[in-house]
Amino acid sequence: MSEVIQLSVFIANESGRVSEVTKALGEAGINIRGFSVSDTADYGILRLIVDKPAEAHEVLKKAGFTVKETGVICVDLPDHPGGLASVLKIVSEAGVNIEYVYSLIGTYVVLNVAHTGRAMALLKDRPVRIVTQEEIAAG
Amino acid sequence: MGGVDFSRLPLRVGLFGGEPCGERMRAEIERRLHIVATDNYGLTEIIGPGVSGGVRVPLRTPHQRGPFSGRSRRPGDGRDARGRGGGREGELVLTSLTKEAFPVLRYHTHDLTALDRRPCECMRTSVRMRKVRHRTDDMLIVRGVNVYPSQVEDVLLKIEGIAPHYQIVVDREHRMDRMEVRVEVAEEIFSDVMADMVAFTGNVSDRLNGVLGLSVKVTLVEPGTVERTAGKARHVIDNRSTE
Repeated sequence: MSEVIQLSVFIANESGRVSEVTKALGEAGINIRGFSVSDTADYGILRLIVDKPAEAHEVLKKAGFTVKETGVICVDLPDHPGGLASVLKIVSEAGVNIEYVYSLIGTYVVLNVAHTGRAMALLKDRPVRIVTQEEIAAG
Repeated sequence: MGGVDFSRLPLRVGLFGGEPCGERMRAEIERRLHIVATDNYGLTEIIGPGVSGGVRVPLRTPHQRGPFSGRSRRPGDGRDARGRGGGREGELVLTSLTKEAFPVLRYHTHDLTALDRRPCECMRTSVRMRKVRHRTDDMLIVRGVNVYPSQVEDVLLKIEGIAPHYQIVVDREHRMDRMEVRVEVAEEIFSDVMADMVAFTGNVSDRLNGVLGLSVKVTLVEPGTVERTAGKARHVIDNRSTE
């Protein structure tokens, strides 16, 4: 069981900034597996799950972006109604605060919680599969 | 101010001071309050608003009044401007002749103006003072509050993770001054959790408010986006027009 590395990028509220991030990653041969954007009136936070996080970090830093790496949990949900609810319930009922959640391709979702290690332990032996960085890279 | 019919109030004249008042603001006060409004210049150290003030005809010509001797001095020049303010721009330097409790001698206001000793159309013969639009230093007056960019810088430097590049932007929204401080986001303060970012800007804003006594909007911008001229950041952008 391991965390998956998420890259967060600070995005000023200017047209074309998200496009510049994706362009830089595309040109560097980095594949985006999933992302989410959270925004205010003045700026946004772009969160990315990519196949090669270390390289992507370097590429974005060189392009002048403020980038942060965070360990997040990626789980493969049971593909039936209530699948996501069952996972979130395990974590939140244990009193671990979920900061945010977003979906990737297929049945993958990313969770960022207040205590990553604890949440991982809670999800172990439950009918849900934790996705590894290697799987993300493999696609 | 619902329910009040200003045209029926016995108000006739309003002398306004405390912060620079543009001609549009003055005209609007006249129109909405149904009074004659004048713009008044002054300093807390001298008398408050009342060193000079506009008259009815013509309204934009402030008269100096009170027991002061005023001289305009060219900034950076040790000597008085020739002719003691003979229409040339200089720094207004004031001496209060009869004040007993807090007299000042050659008090440098840092305000740039020009003095005119010719009589006014309204028949008054006191010295006329041109409206102050610029200063010899970088002090800003925002909502009547004196703000030095160095105060903002002091607050920002004490906050960990703030890059040395910042920018103060002052503009006017609905006739009211609005001050914004743009701060470049360094990696140390950047978080993937939005609530942390909002808390951070709130904290910076509170600290600026505590020092300046003024509510300030803090905006986070990307590193390298604060305008730089010859490698140095341009710290103040004042978009207010004095018209």
